[in-house]
Amino acid sequence: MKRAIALVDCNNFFVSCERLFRPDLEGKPVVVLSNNDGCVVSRSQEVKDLGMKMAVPWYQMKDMARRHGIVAFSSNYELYADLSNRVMSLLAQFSPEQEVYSIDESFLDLTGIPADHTQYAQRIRETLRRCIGIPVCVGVAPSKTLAKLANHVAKKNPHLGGVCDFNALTEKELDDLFAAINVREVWGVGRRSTDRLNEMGIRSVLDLKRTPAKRLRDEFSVVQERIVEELNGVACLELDDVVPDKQQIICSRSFGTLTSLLSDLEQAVVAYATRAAEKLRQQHSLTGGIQVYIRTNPHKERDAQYQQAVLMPLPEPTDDTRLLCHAALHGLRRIYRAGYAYQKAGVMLTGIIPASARPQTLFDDVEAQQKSHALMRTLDRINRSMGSGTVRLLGEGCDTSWAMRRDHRTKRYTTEWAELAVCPA
Amino acid sequence: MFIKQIDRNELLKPLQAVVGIVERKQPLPILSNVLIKKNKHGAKFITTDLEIQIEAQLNAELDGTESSITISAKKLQEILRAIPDNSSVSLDDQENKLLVKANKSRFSLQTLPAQDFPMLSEQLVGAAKIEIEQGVLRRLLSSVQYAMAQQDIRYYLNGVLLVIDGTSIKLIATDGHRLAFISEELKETHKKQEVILSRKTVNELLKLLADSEDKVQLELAEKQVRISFADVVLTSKVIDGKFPDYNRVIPTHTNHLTMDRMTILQALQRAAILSNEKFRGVRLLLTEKNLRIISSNSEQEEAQEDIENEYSGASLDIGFNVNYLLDGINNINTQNVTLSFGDQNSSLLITIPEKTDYKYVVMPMRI
Repeated sequence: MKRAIALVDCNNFFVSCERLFRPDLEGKPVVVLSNNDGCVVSRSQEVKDLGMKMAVPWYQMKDMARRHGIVAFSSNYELYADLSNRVMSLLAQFSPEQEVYSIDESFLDLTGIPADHTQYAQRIRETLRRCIGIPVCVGVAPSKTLAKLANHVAKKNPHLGGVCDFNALTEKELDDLFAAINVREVWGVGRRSTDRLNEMGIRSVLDLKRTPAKRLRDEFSVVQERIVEELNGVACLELDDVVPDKQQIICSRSFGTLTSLLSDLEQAVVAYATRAAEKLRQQHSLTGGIQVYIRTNPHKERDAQYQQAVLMPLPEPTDDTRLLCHAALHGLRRIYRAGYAYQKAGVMLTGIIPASARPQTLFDDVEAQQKSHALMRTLDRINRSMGSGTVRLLGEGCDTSWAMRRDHRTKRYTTEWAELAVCPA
Repeated sequence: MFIKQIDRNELLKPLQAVVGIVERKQPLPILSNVLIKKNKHGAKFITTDLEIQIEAQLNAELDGTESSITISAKKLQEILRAIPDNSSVSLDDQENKLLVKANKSRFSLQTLPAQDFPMLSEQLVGAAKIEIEQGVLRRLLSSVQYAMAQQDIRYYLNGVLLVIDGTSIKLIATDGHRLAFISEELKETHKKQEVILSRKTVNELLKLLADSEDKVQLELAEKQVRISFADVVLTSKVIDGKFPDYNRVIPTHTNHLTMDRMTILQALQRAAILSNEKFRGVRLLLTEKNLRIISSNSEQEEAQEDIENEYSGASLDIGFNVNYLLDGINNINTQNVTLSFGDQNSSLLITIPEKTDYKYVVMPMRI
């Protein structure tokens, strides 16, 4: 039976999420900016048509934005993550095997599903549009690499109606299509390998597909060889259907304004460690250590530069916000140097293990562990039902003037009771 | 002339004894240096990292006045090692420089003033003094050193607790997951004294102590220890902290299993191959007259070992980190070994049959 792997990819996902609650922006140029409103990270089709590139600094674009009436939003990752979860769980109904590849992409194995796959993919699009309201494109092909490419074709050719099934095309039609696509569009071919492939005379996807594996092996690694096999319809990459728990949890942000005060950094580190601990408990894990780092703004070349990180190992794996903050603050005080204007701080949890695998130690204080567990559970329950940050450590501070700039952030419509979308009757 | 003529090996020996504690990266430049102090009997070589100080005596007839220099310990060691065996070496101290000559080679090394060398101040008032054989101390240290914690924030676990109590000496090391205990009878009675030797001190002693019947003197005070043997004197600060109560965690299980040490050691080594790379867990299944060892990894590969024995206690299904078990069983050298079990959540006690001097406790893990 011929393999059929679908890649479902949300169209400019962040913009689509914002438009969901602002239907008036349908058809208007919209962008979403990265943290601190730094760069453009998601563009609506209208903005792409205006020629604005991905990842350009926003301040350089402000003029253009004014001229064309481009609407800009700060990143609202809580909203995106929640909508992504909804998209992924809905997609799971369409196949026994799913690999969630990123926040807005998912592979589905359609092999053996007794239906016309083009129509089936159309049903997927229709269901997502109706149930969630997020537009997607679907590519279907015998391998993951080809499915990615099919998705690319579906996106670039509106007349296909958002679906492209390579399995429905003849070898000749496929080759004609591949001849017209630049090799850099292939999944796994980066900018450096594109240059090297070009030097070898490989420019189009068709060129790469027809390159003997032997020739690539001499130049590259087995990874590139696999890409060629995949382009020829031999599936080398299987679907990774288990979503592994995060091995690291990072929480770091740039400040809205530079600060040289230890007290500001302390507040930030406590806030980040608190967030990280919440994420840790969400996935029922414990961490063996917390790393803290701070840095100045590397783009202000005339300012004195400093950056430092320190890993604080914990005596035993924990998910207790208080212990993590305590360790993080210790670390911060060790690396902090006065007299620098700090731009960013962050914490990273490492050595993450499932809570069920907590090693028993000889000197365990079981009572303290149980108390901590109960307290953290209560804390999470309150913050979930009454809004995040309802109960928090005083160390986070009350005046958070250092906090990240998010001038244009929309409400967290789907995850905060206080920020529900209101519809006047 | 600092040293007119000396055999390369003679010079290298005391240097090798002291160079181990010199760290590559030093906050103070002089800490990279060895202090060489000419005295009546020859010369004394001294190094320090401000926590530990090692002195080694070179016994030789050296001409000239008593004087001292400091030079890079690692560089001098490398130079001497690279010079052919049996070469004769001369050291000539000039202003800020030391000229090392051997055969047709010449090396000019930078020196730093000897009076700047930071010597540890003696803090041995009221020290307990004991004397045992070098080989015995070496054996005691190596019986527990593997259980020391490494860079643990509970700094008092990064070393070995040494206890003198009445007529016995006890050494204990633990990282919270397992604990190793060893004791030895002394010839005389001593007052009670406890010190925590740092990890570095323990490792250095294991390098320097010979497996011989020659004596070693231990002086143990509240803040400092001094250990003297052969031509070496090691002085070290001790870890200032409260070691956990080890007696409380050594269990008294009644469910014993005595078996051939090599048999279980090799079975565990085989099972370890397919145990989880990260958690290193193995399951021990005890039933009447049988011990089954099972391991599996994240790729669902499995190993199973059965060992027949005389076990007659209750059935038990319990998991351990295989590395911890191997450490304990590997570091004794008797024919047989005894494992004592409690329930599924209790620690395992490993001992030598008919003896009470060695105890090794391992916490179980959930598998």
